[in-house]
Amino acid sequence: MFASVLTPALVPLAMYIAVMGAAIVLVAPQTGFSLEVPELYLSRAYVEDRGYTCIAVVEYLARGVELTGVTSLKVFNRSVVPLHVSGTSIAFALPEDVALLAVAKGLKLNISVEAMLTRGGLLKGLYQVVLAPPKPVVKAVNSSLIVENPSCYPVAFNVTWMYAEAGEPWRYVSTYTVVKGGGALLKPPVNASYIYADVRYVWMGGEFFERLRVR
Amino acid sequence: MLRIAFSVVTAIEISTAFLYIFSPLIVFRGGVEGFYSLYTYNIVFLGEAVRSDVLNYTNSMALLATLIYTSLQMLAIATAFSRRLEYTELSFGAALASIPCYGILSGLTTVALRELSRIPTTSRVVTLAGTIVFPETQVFKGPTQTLATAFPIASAVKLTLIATVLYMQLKALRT
Repeated sequence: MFASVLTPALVPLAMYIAVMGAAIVLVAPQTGFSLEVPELYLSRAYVEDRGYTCIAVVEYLARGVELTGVTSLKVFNRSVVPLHVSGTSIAFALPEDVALLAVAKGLKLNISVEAMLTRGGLLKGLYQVVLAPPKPVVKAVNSSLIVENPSCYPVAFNVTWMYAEAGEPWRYVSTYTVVKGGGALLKPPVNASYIYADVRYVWMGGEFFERLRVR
Repeated sequence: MLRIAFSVVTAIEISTAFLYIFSPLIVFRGGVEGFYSLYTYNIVFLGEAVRSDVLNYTNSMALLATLIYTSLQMLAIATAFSRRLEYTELSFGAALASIPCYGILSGLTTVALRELSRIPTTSRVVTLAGTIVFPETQVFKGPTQTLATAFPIASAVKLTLIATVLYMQLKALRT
């Protein structure tokens, strides 16, 4: 009696389980989604020497996100205006006094960036750039002083001119000049029979002194 | 009277089943925006729409399970009023489909929750570029959890009623 009651009752139940079981097994997907949090890596930060101007560039390796704008850009805590912002890089001109100070003391450039990203992201980064400017060259040619500094990094030169006529005591005149992006021809401020130049400059944390016979 | 009560409870149970699949299981706010229900979903992960085969699968299976289950419950209501024992037995069998239906919906919910847990909710990423901060994601549970409790209660009441009807018919047959 109990079995005869259950037999018709099990038909709709068995049908339901069979249909749903087959559908669940046959349609089941093999893989789910793989979502990754967008990431931004520092590719490199460097200073591009454009002769008269130093352009600092920060390049990123982006995955799923891009730069849209810069909210704050500072070098040694001094705000600078970006020259160019692309999806993966920021470029700005290095202020002359900052470059002068960095090269004189041999400091690494401290660049801090706050930027807006696509997908609602915000980036805060602090980067250090090692500077490697070529050493300036000072020489005396044809009664003049030639100071060569081909890099975009300015270097300040203090020149003390020593001059005298025969039998007279030495006299002194000091001049100051900043040279970058090439060379400078420094003519003696006075005309005398004997002229020497004491050239002093600070470069990459060291003080350099050269005495040259100009005439 | 028992048959009318059975029909009413079955109707309530069907409504609960549809509410179960239509109402949001999880709601996201912030970096991840959107919702997931067993019927459909709309999830945007940091501005990018999320498409998932697993979530599509759970949606289609939940809809299929509910539609077939609804047809069987309509059959159960239609046959419950018959005086013939075979029809009452059939009605009982159709009513029993609530049990696997609830099981399937619960299983699909588990699968969907497991898939949804793979959505990253990290709002802070630290790389060599610095710290990247994305909007934080808040996750809220929808009313589905409550409906998941109401559904088996309605099923239990319904099964008790139809079993009582069946028992009374069998008792009448014996006497």
